[in-house]
Amino acid sequence: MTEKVHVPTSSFAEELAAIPGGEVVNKCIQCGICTASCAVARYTDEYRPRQLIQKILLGEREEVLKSRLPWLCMTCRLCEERCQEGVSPAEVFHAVRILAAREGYVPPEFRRVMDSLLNNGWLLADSYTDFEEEEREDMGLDPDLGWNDKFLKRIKDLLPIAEGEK
Amino acid sequence: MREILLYRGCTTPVRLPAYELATMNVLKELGVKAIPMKDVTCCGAQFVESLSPDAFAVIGGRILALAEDEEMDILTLCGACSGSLKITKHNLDNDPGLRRKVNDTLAEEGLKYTGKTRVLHLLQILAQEIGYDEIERHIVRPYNGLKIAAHYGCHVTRPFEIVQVDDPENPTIIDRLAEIAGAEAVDYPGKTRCCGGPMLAMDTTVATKIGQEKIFNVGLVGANVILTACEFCDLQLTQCQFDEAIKPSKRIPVMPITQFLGAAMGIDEERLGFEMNRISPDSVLEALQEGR
Amino acid sequence: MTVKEASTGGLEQPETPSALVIGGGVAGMQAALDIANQGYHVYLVEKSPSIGGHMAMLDKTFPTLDCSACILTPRLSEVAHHPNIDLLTYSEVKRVAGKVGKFHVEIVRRARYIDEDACSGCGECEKVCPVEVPSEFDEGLGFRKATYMPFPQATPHVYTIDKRGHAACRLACPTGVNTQAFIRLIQVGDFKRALDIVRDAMPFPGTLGRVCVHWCEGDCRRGNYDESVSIRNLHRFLADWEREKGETEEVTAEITKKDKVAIVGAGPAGIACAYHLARMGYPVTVFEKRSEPGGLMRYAIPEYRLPRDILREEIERVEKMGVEFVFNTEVESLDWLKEQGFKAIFISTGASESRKLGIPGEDAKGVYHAIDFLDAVARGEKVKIGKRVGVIGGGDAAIDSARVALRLGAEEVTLIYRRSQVELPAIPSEVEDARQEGVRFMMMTAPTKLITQKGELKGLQCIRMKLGKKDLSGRRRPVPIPDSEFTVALDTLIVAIGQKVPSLKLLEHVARTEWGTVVVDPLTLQTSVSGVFAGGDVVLGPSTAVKAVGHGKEAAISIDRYLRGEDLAEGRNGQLYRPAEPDVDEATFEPQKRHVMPKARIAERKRSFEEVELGFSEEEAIEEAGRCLGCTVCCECKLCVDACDRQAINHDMKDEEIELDVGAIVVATGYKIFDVSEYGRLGYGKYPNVINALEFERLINASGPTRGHLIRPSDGKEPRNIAFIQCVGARDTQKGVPDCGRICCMYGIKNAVMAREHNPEAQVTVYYADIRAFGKGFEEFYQMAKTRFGINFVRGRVGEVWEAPDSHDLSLFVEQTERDQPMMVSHDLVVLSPGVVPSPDTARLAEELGIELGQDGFVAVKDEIAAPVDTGVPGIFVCGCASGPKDIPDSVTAGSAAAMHATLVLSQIASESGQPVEVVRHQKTTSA
Repeated sequence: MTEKVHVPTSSFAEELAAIPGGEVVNKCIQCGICTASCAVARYTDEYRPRQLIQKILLGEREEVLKSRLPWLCMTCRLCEERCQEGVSPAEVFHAVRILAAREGYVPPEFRRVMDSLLNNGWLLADSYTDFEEEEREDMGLDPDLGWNDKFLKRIKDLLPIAEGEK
Repeated sequence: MREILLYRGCTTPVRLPAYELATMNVLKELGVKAIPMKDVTCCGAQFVESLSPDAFAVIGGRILALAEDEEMDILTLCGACSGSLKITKHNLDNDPGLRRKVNDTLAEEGLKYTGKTRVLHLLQILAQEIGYDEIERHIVRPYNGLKIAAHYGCHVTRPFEIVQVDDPENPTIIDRLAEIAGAEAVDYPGKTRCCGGPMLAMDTTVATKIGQEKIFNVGLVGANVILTACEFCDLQLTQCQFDEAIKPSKRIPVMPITQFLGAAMGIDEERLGFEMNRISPDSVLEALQEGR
Repeated sequence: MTVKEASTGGLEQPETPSALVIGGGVAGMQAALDIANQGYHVYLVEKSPSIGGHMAMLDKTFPTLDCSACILTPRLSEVAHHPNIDLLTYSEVKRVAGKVGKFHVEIVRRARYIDEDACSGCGECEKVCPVEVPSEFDEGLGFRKATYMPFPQATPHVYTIDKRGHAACRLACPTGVNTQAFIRLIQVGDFKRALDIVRDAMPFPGTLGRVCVHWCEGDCRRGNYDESVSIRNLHRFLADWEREKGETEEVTAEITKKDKVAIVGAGPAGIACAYHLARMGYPVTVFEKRSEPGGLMRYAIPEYRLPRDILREEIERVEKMGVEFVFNTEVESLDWLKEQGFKAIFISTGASESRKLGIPGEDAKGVYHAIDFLDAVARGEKVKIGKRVGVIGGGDAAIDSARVALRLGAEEVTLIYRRSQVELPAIPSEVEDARQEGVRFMMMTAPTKLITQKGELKGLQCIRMKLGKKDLSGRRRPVPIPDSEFTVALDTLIVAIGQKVPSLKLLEHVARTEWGTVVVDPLTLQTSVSGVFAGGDVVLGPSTAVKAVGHGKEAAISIDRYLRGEDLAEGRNGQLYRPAEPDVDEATFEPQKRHVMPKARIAERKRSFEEVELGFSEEEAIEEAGRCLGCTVCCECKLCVDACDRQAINHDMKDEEIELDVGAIVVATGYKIFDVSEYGRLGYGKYPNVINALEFERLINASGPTRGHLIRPSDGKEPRNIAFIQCVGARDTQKGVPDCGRICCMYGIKNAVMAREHNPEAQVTVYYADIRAFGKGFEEFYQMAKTRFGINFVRGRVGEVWEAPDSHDLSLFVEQTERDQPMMVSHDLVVLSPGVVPSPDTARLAEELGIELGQDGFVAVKDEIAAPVDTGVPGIFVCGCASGPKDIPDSVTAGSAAAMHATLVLSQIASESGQPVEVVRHQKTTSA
């Protein structure tokens, strides 16, 4: 049986270079200081920023865009602070997420949050019950939080997910 | 009384209202009136940010334009909001094309972004706008024999070139404020590491482990309390201690810097929301000189 | 440039065209030797005391593991002995002018305070030197003395004394006591020598040690950090120690001269003058109006501050030196003294007349004037003191009067002063003692009228004051508040508002000011009459004892010169020196309060004249002396001078400026390692067991601070699990050093190998991004490190380092990239391998020479391929690490290349002038 062998290509890295944050991924020398600093890498078995960038540099487009891994980045930017070559894995993965979202690859957790956000204009509408309202009143804080629930609906088209997609 | 618009973010008003209360009261004592912003949306951190740069820019741009309309600056309590708004401001200031796109949308509401509004995180207001000397003048009941561990949070301090709040590798604002209040600020391993909060969206187990590592390190150096400047960090560092890995007796109190300062400034505990702190702050308050 | 005669500093004018090589590292030495061996003359200038550069600090070199010193030292020797090389160490290039073929260079030769030609490098001075400071050569890990040789093979093989200017304490003392020296000697327990040093300046260690106003403490640099050193109490300690020991050295008179000197007034100024003159061998007679010597020290300062015995013994000591005292004699004319055969006269009659208030009732019974009051008490007379005593004034005489009044039985003593608390001129510790004893202080109050009844004092009418505008002295003038008069009931009043010079017959013979003080030349203390000098309060007005003592010393110098017919003022120009600032690392400085002087219990003090201040114990004195920061490093105790057999030490040497003409210049200023404390995440500076590669070199070097034992700084134990972290301060765009360090991979491997050599049981791991083993034999060395020496190599840059607080072991965060494995690994010693950056002086030198620097700060070469040792300026060449990181072979090669280019210039000069150049056939040592 012939195994499919991946042919390395720089096209994915070039594609990412067009998205803000993805410009300097080519400078990576794979030294691993990002992974050494990353709290997520420490406590998971699959997430290795250096390895993910390696896949980008080798052009493994499908695998990277479909993967859950870029969504695990906490954007703490410790990798960016430490990289001696000037690469920011946090920014690179941000660019990957944007590209992934454009192609419809968004984790279900993010979809759920976006639904709530689009409806209410803020994240915790479902958690703001009478109990919390009363607590605020007791403390002398205004219980009416004044969130605008219309604006996000107006710009829905800018967001690459419609309800119930993929 | 200097006035500033308070952008509360999604989380603080619901999950940590004490932080909102304490901050407003402390700032009022120090001559700054924080006015909660209305008619705003979520800042778009993490979620909108990851999905669409255009949506992110227009959401942030609208919040900035609303403040610009009132001719006031914005004060943020949350690290993520601070990071989002500052990054959006940076992008809009430096990319005329993006700015035009955003202003086209904002024009529909009669709003315009020109960049006049500044975004300041709580630590900036305290350290730069109000200043350490002024705060020191207001300390009437300093702490005695208390060690604090400062947790700054990633989005408050990074990326430095854009947010410009404190030295990300060696931040000092919270430490200095605590020392002015009479406490001893101690260093601990991994001081600038993340609390794990953003991970809650995808994997709560990993998030908890990351938070607990911080708690463990703080415990190693014998700190009595963890001081925060972001409600997300505060909630996460509190929450991760309610897990079987940490014994209830070993829990370390966590509180925002304004609650901590407020008590030393002689502000009533009620006006600082201490009764809402999930891990009892008693051991900290007992260290105030002249007792409670 | 100053217009002065061109001085070549004693160097002979060379007969051949010369070159200047700046920097005595391996590249500079190579260049110098190559130029010299072609027959030309070379000046080799090196900033530090010895040539050798960084190579002298290394233990072994890569890739051969040759001993660095073994390769280097023959070179050092060759340079030192080469007839064509003038070696100028401890020197710096200050200015360069001119152009190729004719550069005019100004060089500063810093004073070593040791004559290079006389010193044999025997080290006797080092043995006795009491000053220890961190050693720069050992990267601060070990200590060296103030007189030191940086390493055993230092070239030139001479010692250098590190002396940094003038100490603030010494400058502040009117008598010039070498404070830093005596304090350092107390610290090392040599009290005898310390006392000798104090006595070198003045004869009153015990007396001034109790009553001096201690300006030295006001200027003490320690005071800028926590509290100044308790200097006065320390030299009092020395005097007390000698008394307690009981074996005071016998003092013998050594009067060798003939010219008699007369001193009028046996107060502090007079006695000090007599003391110094007697030491110089002059026969001195001191005339004193009263029956005992000491002036106000005897007749005004109360015994609880200055016990009579102490003063008497110190004056007797002066007497034993051959000084004659004549009491109960008032000298009224200068002529009379001249008739007695005195060849020079010093007037020191003081200012002991009390100033009067000038208000009605001042002559009533119960009203005393401070000096008269204290005088009577000092004479042992019974002085009538009532119950309610008032003292007017705020100086030391007022405080003394108040405290004496208490001891004489007053129930209530109130000190009335017209200014505020802050402006009281008295010594603060005296004020504090008075307060403790119960003296009441009534500030901002002035007397207006004395209330008497039948000629007896009943009370004092006062008026409240407030501070108005500043007067000429800079203090705000007190002005009365209208209608605020009130009365204080008093039965005794002591007026202590100051003294003035009494109008004595003797003083009519010399010019005086409108205030009655004698007019003198401020430098020489000569009065209007030649051969007659004056000093102390009679010149200054009411002042302090220490200033009087200082005058006594200066007058003695003047009198000596006068008698020998020499110029009185020469060399005594009163030059103002800037006090030296100490080298303090504020980050690690631990504040420590000064020792408090133990005092007698207050209850006991109030009724007796026993001494109040009890003095430091030996432990306290040594501890307090330990707080001295040693601002000037060498304290001039001169123990080294005594120890040196060859009289090679001269503490009066000055920096020398020399000017040279050279045809070509070679820059070889080398490098320094990147400051790894900039990497906070790696813990250098925070955790003791994180060190840098140069510190590692010194630890494994047999001539280093641990004699070659590799130890952990935290506990001195042998490390068993060592980590080397590469690319620290190299290949880092964020820290401004994007370039590869070139040598760090290889020296890192070399150090790792050496770590295993020192302890074959130790685990040694190198954490790297790439291993750049680019040169000949390098790859083989790398493989050998892996196979033969068992070094572990992990491909992953280290993210951060944590410390376990108890063991001081370290945990490294790194990803083993070849296995996608993030790990936290424990080690007990971490060595950071820094990249190299330009040496600190490069930028200044470049500007002076007019050469360009690259963006990385290294010297820019004209063309990397076609002209790699040429700078943009013709005639100026560069070699070694000054133009970029290089290993030793490449540095040496560049040195030879630069030498060649330099001699091309020199040969052209030679041929133009027709001068033959003699090639010196030199016995070359075979070196690797």
